[in-house]
Amino acid sequence: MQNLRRITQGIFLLIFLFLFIQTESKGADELGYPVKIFLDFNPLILITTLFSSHAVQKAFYFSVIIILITLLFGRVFCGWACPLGALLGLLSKYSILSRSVSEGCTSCGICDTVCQGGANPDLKENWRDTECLYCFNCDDICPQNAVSFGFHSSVSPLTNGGIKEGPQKTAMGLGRRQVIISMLSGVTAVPLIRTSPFSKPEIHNPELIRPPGSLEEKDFLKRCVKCGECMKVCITNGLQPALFDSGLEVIWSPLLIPKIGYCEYRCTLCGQVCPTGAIKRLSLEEKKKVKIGLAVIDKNKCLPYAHATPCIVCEEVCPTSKKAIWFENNKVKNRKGKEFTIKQPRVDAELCIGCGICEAKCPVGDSPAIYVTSIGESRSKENQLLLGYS
Amino acid sequence: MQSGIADSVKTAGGELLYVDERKFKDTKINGQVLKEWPLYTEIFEADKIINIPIAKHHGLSNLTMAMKNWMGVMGGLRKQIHQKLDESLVDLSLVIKPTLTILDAVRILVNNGPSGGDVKDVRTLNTVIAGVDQVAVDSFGATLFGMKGSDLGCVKIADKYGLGTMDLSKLNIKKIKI
Repeated sequence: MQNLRRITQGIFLLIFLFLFIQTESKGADELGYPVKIFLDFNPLILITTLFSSHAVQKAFYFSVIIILITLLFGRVFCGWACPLGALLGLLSKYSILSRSVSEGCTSCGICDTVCQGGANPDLKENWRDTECLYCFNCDDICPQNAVSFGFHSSVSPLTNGGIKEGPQKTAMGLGRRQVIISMLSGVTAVPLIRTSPFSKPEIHNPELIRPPGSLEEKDFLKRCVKCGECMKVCITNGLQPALFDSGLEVIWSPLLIPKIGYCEYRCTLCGQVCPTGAIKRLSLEEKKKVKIGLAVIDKNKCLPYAHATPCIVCEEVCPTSKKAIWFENNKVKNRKGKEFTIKQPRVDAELCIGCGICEAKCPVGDSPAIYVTSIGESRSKENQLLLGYS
Repeated sequence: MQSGIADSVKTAGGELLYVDERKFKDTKINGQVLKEWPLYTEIFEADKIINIPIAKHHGLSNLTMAMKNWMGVMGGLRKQIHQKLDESLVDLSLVIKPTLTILDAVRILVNNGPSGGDVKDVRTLNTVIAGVDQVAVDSFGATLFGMKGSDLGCVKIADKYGLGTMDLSKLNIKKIKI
C-alpha cells in the first residue's frame, strides 16, 4: 500500500512536470493543449466561474469527487495525487528538523485528527514522516506534551524531548465572537469601500487602462477575483496590479502600464485565461477594434514640436490599419533662425485604440511625449471624448 | 512563429535564432552622425551576411528597404536615429557590408507602413531584386513605388560618398522571368 501511494504520487509529479515544461510559449495566439488542461481543471477557476457566471464546468464534478473522497477517507489528495506533496515528500527525507514522541505518549490518537499532512502521527515509528508539513498541530494539541520538534540528528521515537509548556491549548484559538465579527466585517467592508468618491461612476481615472475585452468598470469589479492570471500571461508584461488607483476595491486588479509593456495588437491571451469573464474572450478581429484608451501628445516634450528635430517613431510603430497617428508637414525655425519643414505627429481620436506602443517606443524615455489615458475606452459609456461615441 | 518564417527555416535546414540582448557590443563607426553604436556581434562573426528586407512604405524615410533594414541589428536607443535618419543609415553602411541583398518585392506595402497597413495597401508584384550593392538595390526598389532613387535621402547620401551606385543607367540589370 505504501509503495502504491508513492507510485501514484510519482506519476502525478511527472505529469505535472511535463505539463509545466509544455507551457513554453510557441508563439501561437490561441492557448492550445496540453497547456489548456491547467485552465480546464483549475479548481479556483471552476469555483469562481460557478459563483460569478453561474455556469458549472464538467471538470468541476472532478473536484467534487476529490472533496467527497477527502471527507470520507481523509487527506487522500495530499498523499496520493498532489504533485507538490510528492515534491515535498522527496525533500523531507533530508529534513534537518525532526519530530519525536516521548514515552509519555498514551496513543490517544488525537494528533491524527489535527494532522494537516495526513501523516498518521499516532502510528509513531510507522508514521508517514515524508508527509509532515511541520504545522506543529500535533505538538500543540498533545495532552501529554509528548510531541516535540527539534534538530536531532536521528529520529528516535522514544527520545525524551519536550519541555513542560503549561496548560494545554486548544487546537483552534478562534472563538465564536471572532467568527461573528469577521463575518460581519466582510459583509460590511465592500459597501463601505464603495462609498469612496473614487468609486463613483463619473470619476474616471486616466491611468486605469483596463485590458482589452474588460467589462464596464462596475461589472468588472464584480467579477474580477484578482487571481493575477491575466498579468502572468501578458506577453509584453504590460498588465500590472493596480494599487489604490480608484479606491480600495481595485487592489490587485489588472491595468496596463505602457512604459512597462504595450498591448500587443495581435494578442488575445488575457481574455483567454480570465476565469470569471471579467475580461471577455475576444477573437483577434474583435480585439483589434476594441479601444482601451487614447494617445495624447505633449507638445512640450515631443521632438518635432519642442526641439524642431525629426522623429515620428510613434507613427512608425502604430499598428492600426489606417494609422491612428498621422503627421503634418509644418515649417519650423531653429535657434539660428533657419526655417525648414518637419513632420509633426497628430493623433486621430477616432482610430486610436490606446494600445500604448507609441508611449512604449517614444524616444523621450523618462516621460514619453506621447502617452495613453483611459478616455475613449470602448467598454465605458461615460468615459468618452468624441460626440457620438457615448 | 505566426508569420511562418520558423517553419520555412526548419524546412530549409537552417537555424532560427532570436535576438539575444547580450550580443550587442559597442562598435566603432566614425560616421557623420554615429561615432559608436551597439551592434549585434553575430553579423561581424558570420562568414557571409545576406539581407532580406521587404519593400515597404515608411512615414519618415518614404520607403524602407535594404539600407533601413539594418536598423534591426542596432541595439541601444536606436529610436533616436530618426532625428537624423538618412545620415545614420549611411553611417551603418560604412561598417556593415552585406555579401548579398535580396529585396523581397513579392508583395509590397504602399501605404501606412511599415507596421500599420491593411490588405488594401498591399500590391502583389511577385518580384525579387537581388544584388551586391545595397544602394543600387534600394534605388531600383524605389522605382517599384513610382519613385526614383534620389527621392530616398539615404540612397542619395550613400551615392555621394561613393558607398554605392544610385544611377540605374550605370548598372548591369538582368531581368529573369520564372
